[in-house]
Amino acid sequence: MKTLKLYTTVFAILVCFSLVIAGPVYGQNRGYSGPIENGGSSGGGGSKKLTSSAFLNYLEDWKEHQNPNYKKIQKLLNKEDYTTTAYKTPSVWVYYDPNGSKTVSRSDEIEIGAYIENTNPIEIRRALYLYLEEKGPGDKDFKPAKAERQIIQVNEYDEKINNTIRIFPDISSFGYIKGEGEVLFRIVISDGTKRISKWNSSNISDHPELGYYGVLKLKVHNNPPKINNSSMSIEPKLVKWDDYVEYRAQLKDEDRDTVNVTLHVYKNNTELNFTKLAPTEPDESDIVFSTEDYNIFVEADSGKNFTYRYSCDDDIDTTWSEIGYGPNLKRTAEITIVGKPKVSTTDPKNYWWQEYSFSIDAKSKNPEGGSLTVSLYTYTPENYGKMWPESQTKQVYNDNVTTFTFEDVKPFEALDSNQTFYYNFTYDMADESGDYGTPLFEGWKINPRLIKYGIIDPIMILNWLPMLIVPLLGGILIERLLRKGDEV
Amino acid sequence: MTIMEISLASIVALIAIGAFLHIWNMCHINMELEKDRGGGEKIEISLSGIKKAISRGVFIPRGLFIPQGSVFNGMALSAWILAFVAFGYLYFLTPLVVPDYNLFQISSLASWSFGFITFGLFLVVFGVLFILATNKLPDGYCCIRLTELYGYYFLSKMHKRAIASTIPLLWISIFISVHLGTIYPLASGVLSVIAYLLLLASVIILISPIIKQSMEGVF
Amino acid sequence: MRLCVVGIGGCGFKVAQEFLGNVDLDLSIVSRLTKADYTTMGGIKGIWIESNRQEAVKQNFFKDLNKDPIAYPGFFIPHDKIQPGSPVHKKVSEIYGFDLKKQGYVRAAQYLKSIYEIFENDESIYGVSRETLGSSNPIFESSWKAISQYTTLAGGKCEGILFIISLGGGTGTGFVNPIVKNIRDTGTKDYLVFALGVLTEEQDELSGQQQDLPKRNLGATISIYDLVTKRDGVDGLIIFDNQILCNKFGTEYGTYNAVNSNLYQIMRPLVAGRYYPSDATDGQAVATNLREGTLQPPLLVPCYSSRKRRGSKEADLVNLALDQDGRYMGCDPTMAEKVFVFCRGFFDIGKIETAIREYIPTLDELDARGNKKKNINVWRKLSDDRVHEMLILLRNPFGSPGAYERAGTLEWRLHRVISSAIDYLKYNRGIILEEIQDPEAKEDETVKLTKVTRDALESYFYGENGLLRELDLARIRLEKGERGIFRRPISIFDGGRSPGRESSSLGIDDAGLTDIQRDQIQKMIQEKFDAMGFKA
Repeated sequence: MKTLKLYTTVFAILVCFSLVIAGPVYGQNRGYSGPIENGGSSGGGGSKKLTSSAFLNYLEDWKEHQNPNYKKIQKLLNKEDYTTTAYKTPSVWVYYDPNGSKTVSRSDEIEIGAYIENTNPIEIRRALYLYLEEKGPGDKDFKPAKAERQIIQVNEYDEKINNTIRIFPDISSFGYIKGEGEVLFRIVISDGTKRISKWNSSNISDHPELGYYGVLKLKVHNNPPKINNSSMSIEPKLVKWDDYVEYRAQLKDEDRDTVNVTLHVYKNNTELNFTKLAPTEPDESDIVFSTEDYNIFVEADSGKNFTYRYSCDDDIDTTWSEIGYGPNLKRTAEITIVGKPKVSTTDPKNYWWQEYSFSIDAKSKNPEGGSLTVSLYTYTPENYGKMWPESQTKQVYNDNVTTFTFEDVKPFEALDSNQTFYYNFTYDMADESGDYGTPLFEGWKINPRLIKYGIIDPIMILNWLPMLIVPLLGGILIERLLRKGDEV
Repeated sequence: MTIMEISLASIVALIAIGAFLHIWNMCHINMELEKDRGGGEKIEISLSGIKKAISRGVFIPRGLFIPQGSVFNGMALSAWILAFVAFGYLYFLTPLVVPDYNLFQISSLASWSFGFITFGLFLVVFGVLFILATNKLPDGYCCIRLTELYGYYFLSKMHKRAIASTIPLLWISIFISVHLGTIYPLASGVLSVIAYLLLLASVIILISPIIKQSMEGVF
Repeated sequence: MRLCVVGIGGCGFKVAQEFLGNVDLDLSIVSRLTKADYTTMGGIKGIWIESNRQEAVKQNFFKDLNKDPIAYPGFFIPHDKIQPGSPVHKKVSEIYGFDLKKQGYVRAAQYLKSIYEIFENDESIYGVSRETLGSSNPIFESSWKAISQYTTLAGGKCEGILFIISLGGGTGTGFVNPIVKNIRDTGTKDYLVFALGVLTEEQDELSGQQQDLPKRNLGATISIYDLVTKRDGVDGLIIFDNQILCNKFGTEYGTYNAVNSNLYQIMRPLVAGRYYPSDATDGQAVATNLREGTLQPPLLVPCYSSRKRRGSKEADLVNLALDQDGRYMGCDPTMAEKVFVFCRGFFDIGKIETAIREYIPTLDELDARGNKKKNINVWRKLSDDRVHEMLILLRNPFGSPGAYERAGTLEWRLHRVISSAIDYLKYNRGIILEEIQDPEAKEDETVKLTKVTRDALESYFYGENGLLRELDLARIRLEKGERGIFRRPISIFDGGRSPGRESSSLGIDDAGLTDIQRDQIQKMIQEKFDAMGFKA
C-alpha cells in the first residue's frame, strides 16, 4: 500500500510539472490553450498530454490523499462567497503593562495603549478609530485625553490570532495633571457604523494579568518641590545694611514643575516675603535672591540679626525649608580709628619678660561723642587671643583724637619666647568698617631666651642652692624616721 | 639618637642593670640557702622558671640584714635622691633632650622665678615618697626596700666613704644642669657632658656594691 | 647570737677597739641629725675596763663613762668608785697595805685577786663598803653594772660576753672571775661567757711588755689556773699564743697593730651576724654545747683559715685551719674532745663534719648508750662572695703522754709556761713577798704590804696547798698526759685552801676524777635513769 502511494505521488508531481511547463492554466488565456491535446507542439517529442479527465482524477486523488494541498489548490482556484451577516464586533481593551506599577508619580514615564481583537475575516473587516478618554482627579466624567486618535487598519492584525496593540504616544507621563489622585482611562471605538459615544471599552472585562483593562485605573501622586537645606547660604553673613547680600539655595522638583519660590526674611515680629518663579531642571537648580533685586534691608536694620527660610509651591504641594541664620548687620560706624596702632618696648632685646607699650588712636563720628572702652589682645601660638585684663575707657570726641595707651604690659610667658606675636584692639563702638575691633597687627619675634636670671643671680641661687640641701636633708630625715642603718 | 639621648638611655639602663643584678644576687643567696635545705635547683629558662627566680630574688630572710649605720644610710639615701634630682635636671629641665616632657612645657613654672626649685622639690618629694613606699613592703620583700638596699651587701668603710662622696659630685652635676637651663636656648656640649659624666660616675658608685657582689659571684 | 665584748687592761683595749670599731661613717653633724647609734659588725656591744686612769685617758676611742655615762663606746675605771681617803680606802690600806687609788699599781695577777678576796671575805671591809658606798664589793660590782647594761640580763641585747684579756699582763684575769661570779649569782648558769686570753709571747725583744718573761709566765699561769678551776666561771677560755701571732703578723715598731687587727679577723666568724636561717642560735645554746661533758671551763684552741670562694671546698678550709699554719695555739687537733666551728660563706654542714672527722677520727666515739656523740657543732653565717673563712675551736686538745716534749703541742707550750712560773716562784720569793711592791714608784706611791697580806701571799704561793705545789702537780699531770691539769681553785686569803663553797657536795674532788672514772659514773647514772623510766 505504501509503495502504491509513493508511485502515485511521484506520478502526480510529474504531471503537475508538465502542466506548468506545457499547458495553459484553466480559466485563463495565457498564450496557450487548455490541457495539452494530442498533436500540439510540445517542444519535444514523446510528452504526454494531460487531459481533463486525467486532471480530475488527480484532483480526486489529491482530495482524498493530500487534502491540505488540495485545499490550497481549491483556494487558488475557487473563492467562496462571504455574507455580511457574520460580522463580529471587535473587542477593544485599554492596554497597560501588566508588570507596571499602578501607582505612579506625575513624572514617571508611562505607556497606555489599546489592545484589539478582531476575528472578522479581512474582507469584511473595517478600520477602527480609537479615542482615548480619561477621568482625572476632580473630574466628574470622562473626557477626551490629550492623545491623538489611533486608526487600526484591517490588515494590522496578527494573521493567526487576529489581534493587535496600539500605544497612544501622546500620553508619556502625568506631568500635565495638576493634582494627584485616581486617573481612569477608557477607549471609545468607532468603525464607521456605530456611534462613538455608545461604543467604548468600559463594559469589557479586565484581564489584568495580560494588561487588558476595560477601564484602566492608575493612582497618581505628586513629587513636591524641595529646597536642599544644606545648600542654603547667605553671603556675606556680616554686612552693613546697604551692602550686597545674596541668599542662595538649591531647589529640586522631580516632576519638573515650575515652582513658586518665596524667600521669607524675619526680623523681630515682621516677615518680608519675596517670591519668584523658578523652572526646575533635571538636577537641582539654583535659587538666588539678592539685595540687588529686592530691597530687603533698611538703615534702621543696622545692628540687628536676621533669620530666613524658603517656601516652594508647585500648585499642588507647598514645602518649607529649615530656618537659616543671617545676615547679621553691622552697626553704623560710631568711631574712626586714626592711623595704625603702635607697640614699643624699652629693651631692644625683646625678652618675653619685658614690659611693652601698646597704643591706638580713635575719634568719634558722632558730634556728641561718647564713652569708648578699648581692650588689648595679644596673640602667640601658645597664648592665642590673650586679653590684657585692664581695659581702658575714655571719652571720644568728634574730631578730637583720643589715644588709648596700654603701658607696662607684660603679656607674654616663657613659652612665647622665640615666637612672633600679634596684637589687636577691640572696642564697644562700631568703627567705619562696622567692626568692633581692629584686624591683627604683627609685632615681632620675641627673644628665644627663656630664663631671666643668670646662675649666680640671687634669685637663681635661691633656686639651686636649696636643691643641694633639701635632698640631703630628705635622706637624713628618712633615716632618722626609719632608723634602717641601726641594728634591726 | 643624639648624644644626650644616648646618655639618658645609658643612665636608665644602668639603673635597670643594677636592679636586675640586685635581684640576681638575692636569688643567688636564696639558691645557696635552698641547697642547704635540699633544694636549690638551677634556674630554668622559661616563664615559670624566671618567675620562680624573681620570687627567690625578692624573698630574703630578714636575718640576713646587715645594719650599715645611720650616718651612712642617711647619706646613701640622700645620694640616691640627689641622683634622681640630677637626672631630672639634666634631661627634663630644658627641651634639648626630651622636647615633649620638660619643665619648659609648663608655662607657669617656666615663667616663674622659682620654677626651677619647684621642679626640683617635686623630684625630691617624688623620690622620698617612692622610697617610703618601698619601705611599706612586707618583711618578705625586705631586700627591695630602698631604705635597706645596702643592708644585704658587705661594705668596707672606704666603700661607704666612696658612696657618700657621690653627694658633692651630684651637687656639681645639678649646678651645671641649672646653668644650662639658664642659658637655654644656648647650649654647651662640654658642660652637658661633664654633668652627665658626674651623674654617671655617681650612679656607678651607688650601684657598685651590687655589681661587685654579682661579679664575685660569677668569678 | 650577739656578744658583748669586754676588753680588760691594755691588751683588752687594743683588741676590743678592733671589735668595737664603728662601721658607720664619721660625720658628727649627720650623726646628730640622724641620731645615729654606734654600729658595729654583728651588732656587738662593748666596754673597756681599765684600772689605770692615766693610761685610759691617753686614747680617744673609748669615752670616759664616769664623766658621761651614756657615751659609747666607753671605758670604765672601777677603782673610781672608791674615793681617795674614804673609809674603805683607808681601811684596806691599813689592814692589807693595798692602795686602791694608786695610779699604776703593781702589775701582778695576784693583786686584783687579793683585792677581790678582801672585799668578798673580810667582813670589816665589805661592811664599811656597804655602809659608805652601798655595795659590798664596789670595784667588781660597779664593773658588772657597767657591763650588764649591754646584756640581756639587764635589758640589753647581748646574749653572751667575750672578755678579752692578756694572760700575764696583770689586769685582765683579776676581773674576769669576779664579774662572772656576779653573772652566775643572778642565777643564770647558762649565760654564755667566753674569755679570750692572749698568752704572753716568749721572746722579750718582740714585745713592748713591761715585765720580763718569767714574771709574765707566772701571771699567765695564775690567770689560766684561776679561770679553768672556777667551776661556775667562764664557759671557755679561747687561748691565743701571742708568739704565733707575732711571728705571723709582725710587730711593727714595737706595736701590736697588725696582731690586733688579725686577731679580730680570726674571731670574726664567731662574732659576725647573718646566720644561716637554719643555724641561727643564741648564747645559751652555745654555752650548753661548750660545757657539755665537762665540769671545768675548757681550753679552746682557735684554728682559722680563709680562702677565696671560687674553688674552695669545705675540706680545704678545714684542713687549712687544722694544719699547723692555721693553729693559733700549738696543739694536736686529734686530741680535741669536741670541735666548734664558726664559718662564714656558703658551706655544707655535712661536708664540714666529714672533713673534720677525717682529720680527727676520735670524734666518732660513742656515748655510754652507744649513740654517736655530738662532738662537732657547726654554725654557719653568710659572708660576701669573695672570701670564705672558718674558725674552729678545739676543746681541750691535749692529754697525750709525753706530748710535752714535742714542740708545737699544747702540752709543750703549757709545760714551758708552767715551768717558767715554777722557776720564777722558786727563785724570786723575796721579790714576790717584798714589802715594797713597786720600788721604782715615787715614795708616796709605793705599795707597802702589811704582814697580813704578806703572810697570806706566802701561804698562797708557797704554802702546803699553795700555788707552787699545785703547779708542780699540774706539770706532772701534763707530762703524764692527763686532762684537767689544774684542779683545785686556790684563794689568797684563805690559807691556800680551796674555798669551802667550791668543794663538791659529794665530798669528791671532781678535778681528781680521771676520764674513765667520770665516764663510768655517767654510765651508772644513765642506767639508773633508764631503770627509772626517764628518757634522755
